[in-house]
Amino acid sequence: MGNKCRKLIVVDDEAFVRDSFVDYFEDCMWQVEFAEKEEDALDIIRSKDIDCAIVDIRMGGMGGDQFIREADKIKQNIAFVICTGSPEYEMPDDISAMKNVSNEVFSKPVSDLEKLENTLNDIANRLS
Amino acid sequence: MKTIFKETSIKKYLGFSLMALVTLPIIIIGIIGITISSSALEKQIINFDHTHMHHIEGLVKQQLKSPLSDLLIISNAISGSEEDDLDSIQKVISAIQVQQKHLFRVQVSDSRGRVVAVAPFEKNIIGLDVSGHDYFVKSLRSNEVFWGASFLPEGANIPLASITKRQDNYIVTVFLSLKELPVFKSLASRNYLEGSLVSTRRLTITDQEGTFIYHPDAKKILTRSYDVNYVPDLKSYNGKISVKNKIIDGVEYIVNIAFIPETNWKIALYTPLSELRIPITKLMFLIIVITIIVSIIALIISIHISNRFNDALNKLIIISDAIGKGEYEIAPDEKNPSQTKFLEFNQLASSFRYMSTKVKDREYKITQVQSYLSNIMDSMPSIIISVDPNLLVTQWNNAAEAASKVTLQEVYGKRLVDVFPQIKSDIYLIKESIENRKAGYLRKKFLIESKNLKYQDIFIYPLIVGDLHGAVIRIDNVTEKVLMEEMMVQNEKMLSIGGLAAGMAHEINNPLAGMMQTANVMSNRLVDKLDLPANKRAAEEAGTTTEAIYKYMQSRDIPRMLHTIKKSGKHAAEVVSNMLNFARKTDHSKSIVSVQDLIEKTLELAVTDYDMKKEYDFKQIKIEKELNSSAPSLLCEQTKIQQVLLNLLRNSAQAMQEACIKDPVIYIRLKTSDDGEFIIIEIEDNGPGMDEEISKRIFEPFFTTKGVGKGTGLGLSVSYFIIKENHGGEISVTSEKGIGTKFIVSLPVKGIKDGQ
Repeated sequence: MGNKCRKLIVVDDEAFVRDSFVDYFEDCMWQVEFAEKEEDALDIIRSKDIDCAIVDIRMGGMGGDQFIREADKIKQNIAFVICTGSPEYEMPDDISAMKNVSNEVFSKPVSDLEKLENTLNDIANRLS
Repeated sequence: MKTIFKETSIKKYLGFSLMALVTLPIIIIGIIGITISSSALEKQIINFDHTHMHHIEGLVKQQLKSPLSDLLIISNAISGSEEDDLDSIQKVISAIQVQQKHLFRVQVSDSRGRVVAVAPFEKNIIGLDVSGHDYFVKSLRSNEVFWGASFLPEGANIPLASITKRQDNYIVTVFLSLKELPVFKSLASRNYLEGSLVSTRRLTITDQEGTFIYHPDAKKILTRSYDVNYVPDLKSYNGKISVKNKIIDGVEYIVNIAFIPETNWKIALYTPLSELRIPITKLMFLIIVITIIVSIIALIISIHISNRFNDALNKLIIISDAIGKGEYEIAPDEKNPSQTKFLEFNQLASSFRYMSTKVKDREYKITQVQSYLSNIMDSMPSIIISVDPNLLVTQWNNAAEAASKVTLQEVYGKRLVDVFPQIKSDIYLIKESIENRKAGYLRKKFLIESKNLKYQDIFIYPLIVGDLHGAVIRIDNVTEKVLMEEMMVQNEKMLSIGGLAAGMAHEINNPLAGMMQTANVMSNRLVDKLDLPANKRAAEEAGTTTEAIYKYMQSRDIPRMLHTIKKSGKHAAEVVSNMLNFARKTDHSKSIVSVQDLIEKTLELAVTDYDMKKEYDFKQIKIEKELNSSAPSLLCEQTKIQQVLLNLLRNSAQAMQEACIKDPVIYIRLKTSDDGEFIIIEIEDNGPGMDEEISKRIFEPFFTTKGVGKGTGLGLSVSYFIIKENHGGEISVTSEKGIGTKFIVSLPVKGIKDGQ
């Protein structure tokens, strides 16, 4: 568990899920931002120095995959973890090739949030 | 248009033709010859007769001159003598009479009719009055020589004729003995007609009164003849012989009559017409005999010739028979020399031989084509049967033989329904097809063959080309295809359920995430991580301590409740996940799977397979796992294998439930085969088991022991198909009634090596 205070953004259109992530990471002393829509999230990334992101895939806008691509353009080396409720999801090749994206896709419900936190920390540490 | 000939043999035909050919000209020539020769013969006979008659006529005339000259000599002697010198007259006539034998008597009378001299001398005749006699009366009136009628003198049987002449005052009469005339003598002594072709003729001479003076029958001499009434006019008589036809005593004669004007005698030659025809009859007989002989010869020759022909023909017949029998190698050997005497037959024989090689070639080709065609037919998996319009079998391929267990030879020409009873209900289709000349078919015909279900497609193609009518019936076993279709439908169903499930899963997972993750945070804030700065701060602000909160939580059992929430949520998530994995479309292609995980997942899925309707609860069954963790991963369709295992587990559970087994156990074992080539999964239960009869058939489609509505009968057959066809593996069962059942699934590892 890194002591360094990281800035995390949670992008999920499901309020309860988003809230649960926000609550958990705030408890764990993370600086947490959140957005319901991908565009809003991109704005936040532009304005604030974001280190990590938890991204849902099936959302109303451009979708999780495209969001990661756009976000990566805005700021490099954000640690991304995909967290989806869709069992059929397969990571596109270009995204799985990105080193700042976790190879492990967390499917909802995430029963082990600690594992998620650790994964994010690992990637962030590796990148920094 | 056919003309029907009456059949006849060459021998007869040739015989009769040749006979006709030879005998006809003979007969024709014969008839012509007879007509010509008969008239010629007739003429010849008549000519001969005429010559003969003239001859006799001449002879008679000639010989009559002698008595006549005697008479004249006597007359001269009398005229020269002195009157009444009767002695000298007597001397003269006696001298002459003695010299001439034919002079029977010489008589001189005076003008009063008194005989004055007679030679030979008879006293009682001298002085006899002859004035009443015809010859005296006639001679007295003229100086001409008078020929008297013939007569028989008293006391003598010698026909006489008198010649009388007046000399001065005397009447000289010479009595001529007809017998003594040389011609009469010769006529009497020998057959004057010798040399003539006709022997039964007769020649007669009559005098002026019609009395026979000559007749071959001596008795008739000096009898009156009524045969010849011919008295020619003396003045117009030109010496020609007249010819008359006369019937005497029923016999027709040709009568030639010659006339001697000096004496008024007639010579008649009677020739019977039948006699005249004798030579012609002889000729005809000769012709008939010749004809018969020639005919016999012709017959013999024709028999000989036709025998020759027959020999040649028989050889040809032997050759053609041999060709008919299919013996094409007809080498002319010693026993059967095909060479004959006749050029044409030899040509025919050689053309036969040529034909036989050609026929052989053609037959060989036909056989080849036939065997090629029947090979094609036989190598078809379809049953192919051809029938004629009466539905009698004409062709039958291997598949048909295999299906009916009878060979083509046994069924050829028999009724299709008798030899192939399963078609009985569809025979109307064949009839319709032949009648309408339209192809007919019946798809997915359902039938039970030795308790097995079978699907067949029946196609009927009417034969419409050429003279061959009937139909070809093709029967395909489409059981597997139908099965595949069923499976496809099943799969489609699964897929659509899968698709539905996937969408549903997403919708369930999100609220679950809300619930579980929030419960997690709650657990952090209330139980697990009370010492978090935020928690402490919040406790202080609420006027309490985290310790107090902890105690409260513990006493109120909040940690357990939170745990329940998390666990339930997790369970729900797993159920969704497993269901999804099973039905997921993306998993359609093969992937590398850990069999151990696969079994675990399947078991989890099975546990959830609680079905009120099916009346069993998997949870009551004890699961004994013996999973060899070193078993290699496998390249397979995960969901399919899962489907198979789940099916086996369900069947087992259901069977044990129904049999009310007290302590139901399912053993699941994962092994590797000794050679390492196969992964073996065993699923064994202590259920009711089954007898051999059933265990043999459980992989058959639609075979089910379950009650109506409980099973499709497809489950195990689909399983079989998946293992065998899709994965190249094996599935088998061993079972003992009352003890249990064991299914063994083995899957080849080889696939994974290829996949890597």
